[in-house]
Amino acid sequence: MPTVLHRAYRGAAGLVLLFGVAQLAVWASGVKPATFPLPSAVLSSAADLVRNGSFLTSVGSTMEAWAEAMVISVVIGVLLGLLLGSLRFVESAVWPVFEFIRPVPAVILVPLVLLIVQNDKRTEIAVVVIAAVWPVLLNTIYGVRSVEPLATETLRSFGFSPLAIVRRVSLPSAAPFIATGVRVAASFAFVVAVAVELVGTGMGGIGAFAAAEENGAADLSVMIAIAVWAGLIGIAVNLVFATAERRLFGWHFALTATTGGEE
Amino acid sequence: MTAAAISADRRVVGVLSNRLTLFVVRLVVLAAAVAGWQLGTESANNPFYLTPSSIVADMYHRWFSGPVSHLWLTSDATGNLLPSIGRMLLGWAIASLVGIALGVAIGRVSLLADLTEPVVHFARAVPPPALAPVFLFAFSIGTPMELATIIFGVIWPVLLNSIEGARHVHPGHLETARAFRIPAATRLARIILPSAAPKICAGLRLSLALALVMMVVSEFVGSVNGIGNEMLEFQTNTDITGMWDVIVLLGLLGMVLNGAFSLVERRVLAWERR
Amino acid sequence: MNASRICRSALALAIAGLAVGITACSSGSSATSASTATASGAASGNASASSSASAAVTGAPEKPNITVGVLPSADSVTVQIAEDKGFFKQQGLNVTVQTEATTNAGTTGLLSHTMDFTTENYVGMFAQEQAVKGLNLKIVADNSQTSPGLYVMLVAKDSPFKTLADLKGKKVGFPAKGFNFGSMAADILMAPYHMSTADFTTVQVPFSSAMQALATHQVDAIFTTEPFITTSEAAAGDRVLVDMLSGPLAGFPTACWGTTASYVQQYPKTVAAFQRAMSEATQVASTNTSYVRSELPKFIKTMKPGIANVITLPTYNTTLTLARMQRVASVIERLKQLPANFPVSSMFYPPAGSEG
Repeated sequence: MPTVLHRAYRGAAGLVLLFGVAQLAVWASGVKPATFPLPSAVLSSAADLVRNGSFLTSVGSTMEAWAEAMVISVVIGVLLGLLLGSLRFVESAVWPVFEFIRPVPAVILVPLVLLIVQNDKRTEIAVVVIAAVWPVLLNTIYGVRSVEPLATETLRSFGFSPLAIVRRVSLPSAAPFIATGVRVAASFAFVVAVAVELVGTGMGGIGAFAAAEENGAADLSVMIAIAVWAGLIGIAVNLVFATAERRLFGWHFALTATTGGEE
Repeated sequence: MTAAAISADRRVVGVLSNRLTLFVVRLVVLAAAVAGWQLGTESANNPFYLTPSSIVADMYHRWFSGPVSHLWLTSDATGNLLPSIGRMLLGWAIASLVGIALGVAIGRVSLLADLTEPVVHFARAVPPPALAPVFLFAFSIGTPMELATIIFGVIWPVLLNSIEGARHVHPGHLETARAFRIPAATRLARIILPSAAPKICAGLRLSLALALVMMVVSEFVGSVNGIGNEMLEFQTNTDITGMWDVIVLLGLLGMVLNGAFSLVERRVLAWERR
Repeated sequence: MNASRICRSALALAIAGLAVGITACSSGSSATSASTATASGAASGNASASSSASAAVTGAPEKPNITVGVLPSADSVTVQIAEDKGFFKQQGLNVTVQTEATTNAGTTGLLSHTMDFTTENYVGMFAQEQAVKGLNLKIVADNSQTSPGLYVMLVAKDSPFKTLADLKGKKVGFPAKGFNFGSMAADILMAPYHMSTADFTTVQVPFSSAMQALATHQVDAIFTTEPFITTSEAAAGDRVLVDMLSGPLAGFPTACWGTTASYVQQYPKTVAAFQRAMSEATQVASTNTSYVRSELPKFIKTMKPGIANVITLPTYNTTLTLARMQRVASVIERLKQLPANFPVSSMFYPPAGSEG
């Protein structure tokens, strides 16, 4: 049975293999470096970016907006989710309205939201919240629904108020699902934040940095390197939340052998 | 009439009336929401908040006031809406097929999983708009590039869920199949795929929702027509009505697609519900 | 379980990254994006032109902290000059610069009050005024007009095209959809051939990706400007098919600065201060070309000094005139993209005391 390190080596081998194949392919195609860079050039650009102060600042800016949006999304998503999860009929009645609002891509809302909110930073946060609240909300509802009805019935028959029931039973039981929702929302929120910065003006962050590089007729290797870093940060975010999820709720997943609502 | 028949009848009526009340209540809530929107925007008097009535009227003029022969679609609609939706569905279909095929393979072969999973997790985390220059280079401007962008953005939920679904097939079922010398192909079709189906369907649903987003995003650069392309034009002219038209259209599209998918999913997974 | 798989993937990525990273880093790449901070700002010692404002609108600006929307092109470098020469400071203005990513970002910026002033093409200004109800733009300062070879139609080195008419039925890349500065120029220049932009397929590609699209033969020609002309000529040997602002469009006014009528009403002193600063900056730009070239890499941080020294620069203008605005409007009216007798004068807001 291969050990963790063994399998990690295999993973690394896979990455290196992919890199090698790509390098060979681009080199063999004879395309000029100005038109499309070699993967090795992308890597050196990526290394340069780390030393670039304004890139690091832009990463900080994106993460700041992401963090603010996450806090707001979790608060709204969990509160609303607890409410709707407990009141099944209300949730059912309101569902079509949600089904209509949810599919709209957050990115196209940027100009409109900007005109309404009249502030760059708040627009970015608002749009990311609009996108990221859904995984939290849906997973919270799913979590509340999965609560043992016997537990809630028992407490109710003993005269506990609905609020107490939520606090003592629904919330703790739904917590693993909420954790999954937050994890999914975290990765998604990051991607949306970068996309919004690319589309909008004056929002700072990685997206704005990429747009500036693009406008300056920069090397394509820099553009790809920025995308690579965005991907790495995204993985890091996912890793942090996944580890926390496992630490806190590993028992739940082992018990139920599920990985929660949305992946 | 036997007591069993009476109680069965009562149960059916009970279910029906519940469904009916639910439907009516939902309709009422929806109507109330739209009415609230209408009244709210009318009283707010803000040029950026539009009433649903004006939006619908504009949508009708822009897209749905065409000749009956074209299903009431105007040339704007046939030139922009249809190509976009077509690309989205095609991209989603291709991504789904590839995602399921690859996902099941990766899920079943642990060596393959070890080799490819880091790549998959990395590629999935890259924001697709950041890769627009790459797609612009690699694919022809217009449909090929947009299709590629959609597929790249949409394949991950299907892929990851297929991997998970294929991985967690009940080992007992597979043991039984092997004991009875059932060939691998049949094992795949009759045991692995059906076991993975719920997870795969969840992935497909997510991908479908994502496809709508990617359809629009893919048209931000290097596009010749489409809904996203039109949206860019509305943004350039600060055409507030146009922007709202697109938003409402996408909401409706998403609703219809999700509903259609649910119908199909229910059929496909019918056996799973005891 | 998901978390362990992701952990393992991260570990794999780390190992792979370390291995490849060491190889890449050791190849000693020079920093490509280092901005060369020039000392010429201080050394240039060009006495700034005396303030041309009348006594009518002087005094400290009501709103000293302003945001100015600029485009990443040599036109907007005047803002950098105004900053570095202290013209803004002299007028009591504290300027934050926002680089606009899309063609209409200025209008959205103005309407959402996230920008106080924006730069825009004259054509764009009129088009936006026409398209957006209640915008009420005021053009407050002139900036530049075209120079020979600044806006061109670029084709690949080995392409068979000789004139604009040869592009019939081909794919041509423009930075924006619909009617814009580039399509206007194309319409005017193709008129002698009894053709217009409708005769080829317009593909929307931003300037930065257009070079690539041309190289990969996805478009047959691109409407482009500096620095992309110089870089693509150098990198791919692309050649200029035609100077798009030549003949009837020679010396065509290009960039200007604008804000909304309500802003002008609310903050007249701020507008006057901005106008004074920009007038001095454009004065410097029009007389000191080498200074402009040294400012460019500071303004567009990804532009290398080597490129900045050879690109074609616009011709900088100091004075906003109604006649110039009218010239632009007439051209657009002729193309039926503006109604006849478009009220150009209502958008004219020169500095107080200057000629009309």
